Amino acid sequence: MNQKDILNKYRLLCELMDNIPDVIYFKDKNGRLVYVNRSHAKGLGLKPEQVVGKTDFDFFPKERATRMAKDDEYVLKRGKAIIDKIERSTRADGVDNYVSTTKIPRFDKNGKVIGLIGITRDITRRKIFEQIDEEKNALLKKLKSAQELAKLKSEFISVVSHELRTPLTIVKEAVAIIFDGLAGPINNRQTEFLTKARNNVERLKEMIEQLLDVSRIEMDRVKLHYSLINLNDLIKDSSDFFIKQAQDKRIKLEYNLPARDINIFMDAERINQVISNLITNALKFTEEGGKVKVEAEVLEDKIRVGVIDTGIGIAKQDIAKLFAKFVQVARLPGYERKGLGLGLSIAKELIERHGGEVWAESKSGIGSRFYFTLPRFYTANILNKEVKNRINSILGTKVNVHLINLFIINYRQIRSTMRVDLKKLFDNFKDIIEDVAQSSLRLKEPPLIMPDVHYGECSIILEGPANKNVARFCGILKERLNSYFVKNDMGGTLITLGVLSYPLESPISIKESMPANLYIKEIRIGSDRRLYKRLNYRLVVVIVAGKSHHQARTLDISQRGISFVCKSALKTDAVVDIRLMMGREKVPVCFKGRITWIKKQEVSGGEDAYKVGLEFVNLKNSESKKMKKFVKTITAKA
Amino acid sequence: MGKTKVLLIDDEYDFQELMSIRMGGWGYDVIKASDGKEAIDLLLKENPDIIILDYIMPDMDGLEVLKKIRELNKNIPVIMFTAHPDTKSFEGSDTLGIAAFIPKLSAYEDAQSSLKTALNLALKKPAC
Repeated sequence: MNQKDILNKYRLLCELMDNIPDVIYFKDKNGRLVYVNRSHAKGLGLKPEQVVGKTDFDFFPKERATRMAKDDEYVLKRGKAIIDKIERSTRADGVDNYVSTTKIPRFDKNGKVIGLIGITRDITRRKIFEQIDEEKNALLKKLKSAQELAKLKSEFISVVSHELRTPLTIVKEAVAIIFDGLAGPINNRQTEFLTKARNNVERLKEMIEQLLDVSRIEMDRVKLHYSLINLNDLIKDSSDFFIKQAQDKRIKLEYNLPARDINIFMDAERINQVISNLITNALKFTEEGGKVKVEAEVLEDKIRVGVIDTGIGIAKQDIAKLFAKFVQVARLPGYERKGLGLGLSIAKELIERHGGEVWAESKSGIGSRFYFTLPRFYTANILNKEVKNRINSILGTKVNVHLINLFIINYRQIRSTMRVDLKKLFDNFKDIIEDVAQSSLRLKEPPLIMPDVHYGECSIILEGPANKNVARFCGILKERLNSYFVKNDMGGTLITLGVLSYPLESPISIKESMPANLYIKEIRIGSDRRLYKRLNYRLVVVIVAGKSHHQARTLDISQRGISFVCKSALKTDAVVDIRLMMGREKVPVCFKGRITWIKKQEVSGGEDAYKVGLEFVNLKNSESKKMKKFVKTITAKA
Repeated sequence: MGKTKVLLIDDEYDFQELMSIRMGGWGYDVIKASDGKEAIDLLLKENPDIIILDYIMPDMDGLEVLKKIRELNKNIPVIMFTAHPDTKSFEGSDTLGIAAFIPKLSAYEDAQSSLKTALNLALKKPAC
C-alpha cells in the first residue's frame, strides 16, 4: 500500500469517527481511554483531548463506572466481546436514556489482549417503540380475551335460554291443559291462581325470547327475512289486541295511519316485534285516563312510525341510556323494575339492521315519544298485488334475492322530445336486461322485470346470484343501456346520458356480516339527478328553533330537504328556520323546515351529536326555484 | 270413519303426554314415539295419517328421522314442532315435504292454535 492509499484510508476512517453519532472509544489494558471520537466527548460535554488519558471513573458516578469497569475486565481478561448490552443511562444533559454497548478486545501480533474498542449507541427511540409495542400487544391480548369472554357469554346465554325453553314449554302446556278444563273441572279460585301462573309463564317466556334475541344479535345470527309488506296492515294486525289491553287499563289507544297503502321491504316479524314492544311500553307507563297514539308517516325516502304516550315520561338524563342493554331507567314510585330491560336495545338493533333510525323524546310527567324509520324504496309503491305476491314467493325461497332499481333521470325530457314509442323503449330495455342477465349471471329463473313506463323507472328482481356477480351485472347493464341511448339518439336531442350519476350503492347501510335474504341496489342513468334524490354535500347551516340557534353541518341536500349533524337534540316534527349559505350569495337564504328523523351519533366520549333529517315546508314558488337551481349547481360540481 | 291418527315424535316424555291429552281433546287419536327407531316402527305398524316431529332429539335429529320417514312414505304430511326458534328452515327442508314449522314457544303467536291450524290444513279437514 503506498502512502497515498494509506492517507485515503486514514481520511475515510477519520470521517467515520468524527461524524458517526455513536460513541466510539479505545481503551488500554488499564481501562484508560487512548482514543475517543467526537460523539463521545460531546456526550460528556467535553472536547476529545480533555477525555483521552482518563478513565470512566473520571466522568461517571462511581456505581456506573464500576459496572463499566467490570465489563472492561471481562473483555480484557477473557479476550471475548460483549455485544449489544442494553443499559439505562443518563446523558450529560441529565436526560435518562437507553444505550446499547458493544466492547471488542484488541490483540497484539502475538494474540495478547492489549485493550478494547467500545461502541455505545443511544437506543432510546427504539426502546420507546418496543415499549409501545409491548403495551399494544398486552392490550390486544386483553381485548382478545374480552372478546372471547363476550362470545362465551353470548353462547352461554344462547345455550341457557335454549335449555330453558323445553321445561318451560311443558309447564306452559300443563297449566294450559288444566286451565282449559281438559283435566277435569276447575273452580273459580283455581282459575284465579292458574291465571297468575299462566301470566308469569308468559313473562318468563318473553324474557327467554329477549335473551335469545340478544345472544343472536351479538353473535350476528339474526338474519332478516325480508318480504314486501303493507305497513298499515302490519300495524292493524295487532291493533285489536292492544286496543283491548288499553281498554282494560282505561287508556285511549289511537291509530293514525296514512290513507294510502305503503308497501315496504322489511322483516315483518321483526318489525312487528319492535312496534309491539313500543306499544306495550307505552301502555305500561301510561296511567289510567291517559292516551297512546300510534302513527305512521310517509317521509321523503323513509317511513316513520311513532308511538306517543301521555305517560309518566323519562328523565332527561335517562333518555340517552334508554337503548342500551340491560338498562331500566329509574321509574317513578309504583313502577317497580319488571323485565330485563332488553326490549329497546333489541328494537334498536333490529331497526338499524333494516337501515333505519330509532330515537326517543320525553318529558317527565308529560309523556314519551318513540320513533323509528325504515328506508322506503320506490318500487314498493307501484306494485300491483300479483307482482307483490310473486316477489314475496321469491323472497320465501332460501336463495338471496337482489332488487335493482333503475332510474332514467332525464326521463321527462326524453319523453317529450323522443319519437320512439315508450312501450317499445321499455321492450328494448327488457330485452337488454334479460340478455345481460342471461350472459353474466346464468340464473335458473329469468329476472323479474317491472317497468314503469310513466316515470321511466324499472325494478329488476334477481333470484340467487352471488353479490359480486350482481355488481358485474349492474356494470354491464349500465354500459349496454348507455350505448342504447347513444345509438338511438333520441329524436335528435342527445341528452348527456350514460353518466352513472351515483356509484353503485346499497341504499341500506348495513354491516357486511349482516345476513339478509334481500339486497338492494340502485342504478341511475342520466346527467341530472333525480328530483328528490339526496346529494352528499357539506354546508354550514344555522337552525333556528324558537329562540335558540344551532349551528350544523349538512350531510346531504335535495330539493325537498336536508340532513345535517347538530350538537343539540332537536324535537321531532318541530318546525324550524334554516339559514343556508348558498353558492355565491352573500346573505343566507332562509327556509322553513320540519324535523323528520333523528339519529344519535355513537361518539365515545366528547359531546353528543345527532344526525337529523329535515324536510322543507311551505316553500314559496321562488324559494322552490332557488333551491332547485342550487341543487343543480352543486350537482354539476359534484 | 275412524279418528284421524297422529304420530307424535318427541323425546320429552312429559311433553308427549300433555300433547296427546291436548290433541285428544281436539278429537285426534295420538300415538307417541320417543325416538327415531320407535317412530319408524309405529309408522309401519300403525299407518298414521299425519306426523308431528320434534326437530331436535338426542339419538337421531328430526331431519334424519324425516329422511327415514320419506324413504318409507313419500306422502304423509309432516309438521315440524320445535322448541328452537332458529330452525324455521334448514338445508334440504324444502325437498322433504314439510307441511309446516310450528314453534313450541313463540313470543308472537299461540302455539296451540298454530298447530291446530297446521293440522287442519295438512289434513285438509277438521279433526273428525
